[in-house]
Amino acid sequence: MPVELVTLQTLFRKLERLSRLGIPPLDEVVSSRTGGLPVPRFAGKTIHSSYDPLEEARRFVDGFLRQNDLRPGDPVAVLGNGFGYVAEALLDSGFRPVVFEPLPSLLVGMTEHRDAGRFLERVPCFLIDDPADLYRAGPHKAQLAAVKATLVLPYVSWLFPSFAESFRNKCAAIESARSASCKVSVVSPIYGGAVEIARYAGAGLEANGMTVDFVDASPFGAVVPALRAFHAARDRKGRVFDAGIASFLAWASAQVEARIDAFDPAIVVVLPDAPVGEAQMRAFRDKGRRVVTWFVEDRHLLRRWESEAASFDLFFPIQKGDFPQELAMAGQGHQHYLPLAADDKVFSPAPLAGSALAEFGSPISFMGAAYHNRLRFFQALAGRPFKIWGNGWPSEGPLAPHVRGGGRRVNAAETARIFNGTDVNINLHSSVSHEGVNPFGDFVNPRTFEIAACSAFQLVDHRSLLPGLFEPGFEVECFSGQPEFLALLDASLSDPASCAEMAARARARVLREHTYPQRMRELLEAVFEHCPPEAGRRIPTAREIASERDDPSWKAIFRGLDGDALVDFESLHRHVMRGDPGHPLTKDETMILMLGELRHGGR
Amino acid sequence: MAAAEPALILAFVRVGDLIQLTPLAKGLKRSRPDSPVAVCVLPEFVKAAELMDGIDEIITVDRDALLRLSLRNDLPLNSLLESASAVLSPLLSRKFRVAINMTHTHVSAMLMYLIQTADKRGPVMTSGGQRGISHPWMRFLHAYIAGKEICPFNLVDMCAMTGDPDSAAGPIPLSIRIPDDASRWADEFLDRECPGTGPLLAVHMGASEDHKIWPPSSFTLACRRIRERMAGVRFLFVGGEGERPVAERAHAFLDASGSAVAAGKTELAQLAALLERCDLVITNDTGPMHIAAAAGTRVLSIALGPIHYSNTAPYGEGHLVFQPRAACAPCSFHVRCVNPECKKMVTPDAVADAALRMLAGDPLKDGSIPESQAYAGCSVYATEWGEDGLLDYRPLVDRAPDFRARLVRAYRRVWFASLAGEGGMPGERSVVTQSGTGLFQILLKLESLALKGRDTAADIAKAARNPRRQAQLAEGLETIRACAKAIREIGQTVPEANSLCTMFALEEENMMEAGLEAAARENADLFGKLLRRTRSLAYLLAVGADLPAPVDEGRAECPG
Repeated sequence: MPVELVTLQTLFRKLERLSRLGIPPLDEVVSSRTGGLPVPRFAGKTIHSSYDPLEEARRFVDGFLRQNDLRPGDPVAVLGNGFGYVAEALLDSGFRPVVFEPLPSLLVGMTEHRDAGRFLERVPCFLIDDPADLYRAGPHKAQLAAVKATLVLPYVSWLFPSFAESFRNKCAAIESARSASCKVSVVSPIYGGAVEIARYAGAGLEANGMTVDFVDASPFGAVVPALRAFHAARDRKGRVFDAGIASFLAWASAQVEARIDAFDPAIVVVLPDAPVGEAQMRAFRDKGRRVVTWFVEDRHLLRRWESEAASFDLFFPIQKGDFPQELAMAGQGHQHYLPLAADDKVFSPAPLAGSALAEFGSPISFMGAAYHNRLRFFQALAGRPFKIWGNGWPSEGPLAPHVRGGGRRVNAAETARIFNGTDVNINLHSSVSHEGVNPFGDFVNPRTFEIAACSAFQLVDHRSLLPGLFEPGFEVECFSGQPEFLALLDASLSDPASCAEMAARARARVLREHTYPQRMRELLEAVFEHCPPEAGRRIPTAREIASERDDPSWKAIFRGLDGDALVDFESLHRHVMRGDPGHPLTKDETMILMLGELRHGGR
Repeated sequence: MAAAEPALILAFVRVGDLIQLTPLAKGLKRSRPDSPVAVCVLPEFVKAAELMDGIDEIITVDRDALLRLSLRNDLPLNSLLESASAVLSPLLSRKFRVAINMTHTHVSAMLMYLIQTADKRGPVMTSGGQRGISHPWMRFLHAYIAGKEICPFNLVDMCAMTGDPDSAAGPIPLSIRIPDDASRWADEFLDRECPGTGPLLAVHMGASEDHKIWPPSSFTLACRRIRERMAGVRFLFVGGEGERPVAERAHAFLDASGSAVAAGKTELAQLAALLERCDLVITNDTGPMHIAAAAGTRVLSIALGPIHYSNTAPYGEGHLVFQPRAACAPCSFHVRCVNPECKKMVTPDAVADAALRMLAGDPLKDGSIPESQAYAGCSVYATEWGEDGLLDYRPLVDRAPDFRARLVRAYRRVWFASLAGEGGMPGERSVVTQSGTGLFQILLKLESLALKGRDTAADIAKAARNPRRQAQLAEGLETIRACAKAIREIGQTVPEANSLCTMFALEEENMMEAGLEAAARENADLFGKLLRRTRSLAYLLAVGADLPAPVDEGRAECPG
């Protein structure tokens, strides 16, 4: 369950769910000796003082404020609400509590014993069952944005000590990631759909204030088919080709390493199948860089992670299940689930007209490569108004008349047009080992997010991780097999208005939670928790550098720069190069010019 | 009495360039004997600097350390600048009487900006971060970068003149200080490796860049011709470690007794001592060539690729330099030749013949070498001191001088008079006549632009003080801008006029005066200089070509 904003309605829903799921309710609620206030007991422990919960809360808050340098009005993250006495004490002291409650039964209990409606009007309150969910995009992020300190109620520390520690760490990481900027290299694979994902990730990191070098390795991709063609006739077992690819990848890895060394990032984000070998990763880490991977491929298909997982500082899978255990067995103890997302600049609603509508429009479409399960599954659509886009589709057989674009790879802009021009977009996740829907499919493909971002309607096959990202039946329509699919297809085609409403909800969800900047914010927060970049590698602001020395010559360097501007040597060099008419260059400025000239090849 | 502040020569350059700066160092000393002379070099060239005569102190700046610092991203800015300051402190913590930049790079110009002295010469960054080149001879050097084939002066002279030497005291040759231990080593080496009494020829077949290298096979053939015609001659193959294999092959091919390979076996001072003991050095345009000239040994050099004899020929009297007569020679600094035909135009027979003439004491008079097949592809020049006290060149192959030769001679007189400021330029008051080659048409146009610019600038200077004439200013400034632009364009399109125009542009770039009236007067002066140089050049070309006598303009020049 992601972090959930608590309203009275959600609490009532929660009450139903708790009773349905059999989650233990409160032991009992007793009255305090002073004032007769309600005090809950849970798992044999009293959550607040049974003598005077108000006085206890006041003292607790006073002690907290003495230890933290806060100003009135500052927000404070509070883990554990109980019946809300501590949050109210914070409010009374002039601070803004933002409450996270791991025990739904406590909040539900509060609705029965206190005026929860009034409390929730004054205190933003969230339910959370995994501290990692703090990193997820959602309304809690806005509340956490300005949080200056974290307060954990004693009962949470007693009951869930590791949860409490993790919560503190994550709040600190969110604060660190927000206030810091670094150089980040994002290395793409040499081919495949993940090249675009890498590009989007780079842009997402930039949107989060990072200075990004997108290392586009896709130009190397042309070598692979060339090598294959070159060896094809005499290399039936493929050994010569494999050896050639290995030596080529070693060479390409060296190029990537040289480029990354020149950029000198604090963080290197590696996409699967990027030309970065274990030697490079070791070298990067030896140089103090944090090396992480966003593993946006199916772990069952691409198994390079088994040998490489331990080489990363942090592993971001798009899959869950037993993957964390498998990663741990492979030597990687730090992982953070990071699903895919959509670039809402590329994928946005744009109705088609005229020739574009004629070319890309269709009642039913599919865009993707011709995997085995799709080839079989789509046979049932032969003869329907159905267009197939993407590479690898057969030029003969029942589906051939449906194939558009000559069976070539479709670029992102064209893909957006297809989604926008289609009444029902079919989204069947690929599988090489099933005839149709993969009953064990877990991760959610980029197409799901991209169709949604276009405010286009989709029928997507059921995936175990989908409900955490979209609400089936409300934001997307899901099917588990062909009969269900065909029924939903016909129903959808006959009710375009409902489809449009569902699609609009899906788009709203994407914008709220599933854009690349949001994903990359999550990635950065996890990095800042598990493997924070070295302090010297963070890009400081002009104000921070200017404060390093207190003389006019030094201050003069920063004339005309916004104090909050992130400044590294290159940007400062450019600033000095632009010059400031009327002010003779100082010694420090001249040194910057000189070092910049040397850095750029001058002698 | 406190010791005088030293003069500084900033020279992040290589061995040959350092040796060529000895006349500058000695000239500085000659004009101010009380002031020591310091040279600032890169650490790897300290050994070369120690050979330089006239140098009292060597300062090193580790530019590689600066480069390494510049590439570090882990240092906070403050620490980075402090570390860079520490690297530069040997230079920046001192005060100098004068600082002369002989390193033509942006980095050195920035460094010059920081050096503590009131008198900075050569490329210096301005306080606004712009390019500045102070001192007329340094500007002139830059003006000739694009037209080195018609440059009338040797680089050594252009550098030395930047130090404002006392010209009346006569030319200052290159000179080096060879340590006694190096001399002893050289004696022992030659006794051991080159026994005999015949003439000793050093041969240096390498160079810093491939396109400056005359093929080793040509060197070897030339040596063989010499040996065939002169009994007892001994060869000493010199160079660095990398040049040793080539030297050893040539040595084996010649199989000459009394010959040896010294390449890769010598320290710089030992190489100098060896070259000092030779009767002749045959070489490409290299550092050892300049060391030999500085050691007082006669040199036969071959100028190839981007090298032009007039710029970098061995400095001193009695040397000889070969220059291919290829239409494309010398190469531009911005091209990389893939078909260096010029290397074939200098023949082994011609080099051998010229070397034998030198060894035989031939006086090497003008035209003393008859035109022949061997010399058809090249020119040969002997070096001598000119009437102006600077290095000059005497063509040895007997052929009629071409227009370029006349142009170079005319330019030499114009520029020397203009830059050294000794007397007026010949014919500077004569109007350009419409005759002769196409260049006269260009000079006519330049004359017209210079006149218009000069008169307009003078008018602006007058109008600047008169409130009622303010309206004329904008129009006048526009006229000046247009004239300057047209002059620069002529420079870019007419190589023969390039130096006149580029010099004007550099002088304009380096105008010092602030305030409209003073700046206009300075501007008028610059246009006036261009006018006089243009007229003088046209006059000298016309006189030299027996064209109609130029007419005296008969009016006073612009004041200022």
